[in-house]
This record gives sequence, structure tokens and C-alpha cells, in this order.
Amino acid sequence: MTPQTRGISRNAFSGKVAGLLLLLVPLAVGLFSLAPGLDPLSQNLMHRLSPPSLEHPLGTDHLGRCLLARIAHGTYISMGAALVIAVCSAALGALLGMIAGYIRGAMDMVIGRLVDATLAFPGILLALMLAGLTGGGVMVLAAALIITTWPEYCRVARSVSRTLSGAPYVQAGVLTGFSTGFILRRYLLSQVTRPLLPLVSLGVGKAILALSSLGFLGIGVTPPAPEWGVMISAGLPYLREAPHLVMFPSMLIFMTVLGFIILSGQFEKHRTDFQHASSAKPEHQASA
Amino acid sequence: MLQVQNLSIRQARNGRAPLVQNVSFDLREHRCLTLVGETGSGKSLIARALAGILPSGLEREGKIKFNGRECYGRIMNGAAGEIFLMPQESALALNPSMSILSQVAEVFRWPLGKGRLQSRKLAGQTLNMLGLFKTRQYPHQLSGGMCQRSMLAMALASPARLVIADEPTKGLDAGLKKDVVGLLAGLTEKGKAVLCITHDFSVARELGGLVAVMLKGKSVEQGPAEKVLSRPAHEYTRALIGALPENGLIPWSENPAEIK
Repeated sequence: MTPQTRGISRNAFSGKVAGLLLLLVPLAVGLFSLAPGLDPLSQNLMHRLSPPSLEHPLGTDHLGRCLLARIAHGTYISMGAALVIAVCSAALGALLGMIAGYIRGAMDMVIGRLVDATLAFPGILLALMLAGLTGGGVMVLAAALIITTWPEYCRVARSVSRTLSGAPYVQAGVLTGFSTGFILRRYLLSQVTRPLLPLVSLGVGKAILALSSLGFLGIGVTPPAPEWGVMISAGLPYLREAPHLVMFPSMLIFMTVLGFIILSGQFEKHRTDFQHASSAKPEHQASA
Repeated sequence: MLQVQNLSIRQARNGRAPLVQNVSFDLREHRCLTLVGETGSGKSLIARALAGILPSGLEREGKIKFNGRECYGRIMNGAAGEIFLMPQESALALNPSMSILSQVAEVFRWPLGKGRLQSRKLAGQTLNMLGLFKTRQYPHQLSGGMCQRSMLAMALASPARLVIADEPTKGLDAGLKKDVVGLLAGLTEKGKAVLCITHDFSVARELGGLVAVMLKGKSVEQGPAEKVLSRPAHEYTRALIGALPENGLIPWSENPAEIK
């Protein structure tokens, strides 16, 4: 096996692992959250802390609620919110970064200082403050995380846009008479999106971890809502008697975050492959 | 339409001799001006100065008037959309993330305000006319000559009144070269002005119009193409014409560096 083929098979393997890990979560949601009789909130104190069985494949919690139903429904909250946070954050960062990098001048300075100020502010503290002021909730947490995570996307987008603003094809576009909005949308956005995709994928993983951590601390999503971090926190007092209460949500968080990290690597590889393809000239088209 | 008076280009923080020195010319509608000269004589710098995209570290002096308005700035103020530049490296001037069909269609669509479907149809026709049939290819899938023709398709689509073509026949075979020169000449018939930069005298001859011969940043001879190419007045022009294959590849009688 040559080094090249080893590289290809390793990448293909990574892609399959990411796909498998990421498929498990929607599969769990699809199969179990829609199944009749699986209510994440219905309690049965007669069956509290019961181990995995045929009736309850992942066991029950301290209030006798089906853990599988709670994990499956919790996926909507954890993954849905994480996706929204990462995408909104990237969209905001990309927009501001492109404006700063392409238009430059005063706009660049203002956005640059905003980025510096936001990066210097601890995100968790902001989330705590907002939760304290508003009473918490997923929306508040999402807003806090979007406010504190957009600068990392903004810096990448600004750097790419700044480099591209002097590129011959962008100058040609300006001379052709295309508007600034058109140049940003059709000339810069596609180039900015490629380096941002791996970051977005990482961002989803980070957002899942942040939401779970804040849920664990009792900020944001409040019980009895079935959020993964909240479930770990609720199961912690019963760790000796019923370790499955902590183990299953933790495993799900680990697998999901790992899946997004591997996916991020795949996006990065796709980006570098495209760059190589763009810079290399195919031999079979040497003549006009 | 375009008046250039005493255009000089020099390095901003360097007291050395300017890269382009006191070049002046007038270019009107329906006319073509060809800048000829050896590599490094400052032809492409003039094109970039006219388009307002000089590389950083270079500054220009002198006056550039476009439509009677003096132009300054990075991209000529108010001239965007009125000047079309076909740079020497066409592959770099094409958007790498769009197919050539889309790129030509956007020129029909936005500056000209045509509908989406009509723009794509017109773009396809223009590309086919230039011998490009796989119109959904991206720039990195094209050869240098194909990129050159794609840029020419955009120039044909553009409503710009001045087309600056920097080495438009680079990478083209004899047949395509003739077609491209014909299309550039056709632009002047549509009322546009064409500034062509080349080191190929046959292109200058076929385009006609005016010719300016550049040497070491200076314009040493200007005049109608027929006159300059058949009865060159300057010794450098005579040396260049004499060195053409059809004239027997006569070596220069003296070192060109010594020609003033």
C-alpha cells in the first residue's frame, strides 16, 4: 500500500466513522422519539432507577421516567440548539468579516474593535448574567453563545476577504461594474464558506458541550426538560445505584461531539483538495 | 474618450528612474490603439494605471481623463462598468467558484439588466461563438487559451466603452488568434475604444488604428499602424520589425539597451 493509498483509505475510514456517529443520533431520534408510549415526562415511581430492560432499554431515572425517551427527546434540544448556534454565529461572523475585509476603512476598525472586545469577554459569564437577568431558557443560552462565538468566524472571514479584495478576479468584477453586495455575495462568500465549514462543524460540537455544561450547572434549560447536561446533573446523586443515568447521556455527548470533530477534518480535507485542484492545471487540457 | 497626458509610474519610496515616463496619447470611440514593445517596457503597467489597479508601492503622475473627467483612485472613480480590462493572466481574472457560463451570464444580467434565462442563453451563444462548448466548466478546468476566450466573451458582453486587452492572443493558435483579433476590431465598429497591448506586430497590423511603440517606459514612436509598421521612424521600431521571422530574423544591429 503506497503512502497515497494509505492516506485515502484513512480518510475514507474517518468519513465513515463520522457518518456512523452522526447517523446514530438522528436514528435514535427517529426511531424512539416518535414511538408511541415513549413519553419523556411521564413518571412511574414504582419503577424508579430500574436498570436497562426490554420495557425500558436504557433503564429509568430517579422519577421512573424512561431514559431512552428522555435522551431521544433531548436530542432535539441539544443538537437543534447547537446547530442553530453554530450556523447563526457563522453567518453573523462571515457577514461582518467580509464587510471588514473587503470595505476596510472605518468599518474594518469598528468591527475589529468589536471582535477584540467580544473575545476578551468570558462567554460563560455572559450566559450566567443573561440567565440571571431573564430567568434562563434555551433561547437565552443560544443568544449568549452566538454573541460570544461569532468573532472566531469573523476573523477568518475578514482575513480571507482582505486577501481576496486584491485578487485579479475581484478587481475584474469591480471594473465590470458589479455592486459591492454582488461582489460580497458571488465573489467572496463562496471562498469564505470553505474555510468556515470546518469551523462550523467544530462549532456545533463546542456548542453541544457548552449547552450540556451549562445545563449541568443548572443554567439555561431547566428540569424537567430532557436536555443531555440536565440529565447528567440529575443522575449524578444516583451514580452508585444507577450509573446508566450518567453513562448513556455522557456517551451520547461524546459520540456526537466526536462525530462533528471528525466531520470538521473531512471538510478541511475537502477544502485543501479543492485548493490543489484549483491551482493545478490538468495535463489533458494543455491545448486550447 | 480617453486622454492620457504625461503619465509616469514610479515606485513610491524610491528615487530611481520611473518605470513609465511621460507617456501621452488620445483614444477616441471607434478607434483602436495598440501598445507594442518588448517585455518589461511598461505596457501592462499603463493598462493597470488606466484601470486604477496599480500594484501597491507604485504611484502615478500625470493626467488620465476619461469622458472629460479626470480620474483618481484605486478603481477609477465612476468608471467602473465603463472600462473592461482583459488582464494578461486571464485564468486569474476569472472567478474560480463560478462556471464560465455563469460568469458571462452575470455580465449580461447585472450591468445590462437582462433576465436570468435570457442572460444564460446569450452567454452560451457568446461562448459557443468563441469555440467554447463545455460552458459549465470552471476556470481551473480550462487551458490558458480557453480562459483567454472566456474573458473575451465577457468583454463582448460588457457594456464598457473602453476595452483594455493585455496580450489578448497569448496562448492562442494561429486560427483562434485571427478570430480574436477580428472580434476586437469588431468592438470598435460597435462604438467602443480598444486599447490593445501586445508584443506581436501581426496583431497590431491586423487591428489597424494607432500604434505606440514602447521602449524602457517611454513611447518612442506613435502614429497610424500602417505608417509605423511600413515606414518606422525610430531605430528601435526598425530593429523590432527587422527581427520578425517574416523579415528574416535580422539581428539587432546594436544593443537595444543603447537605443535611446
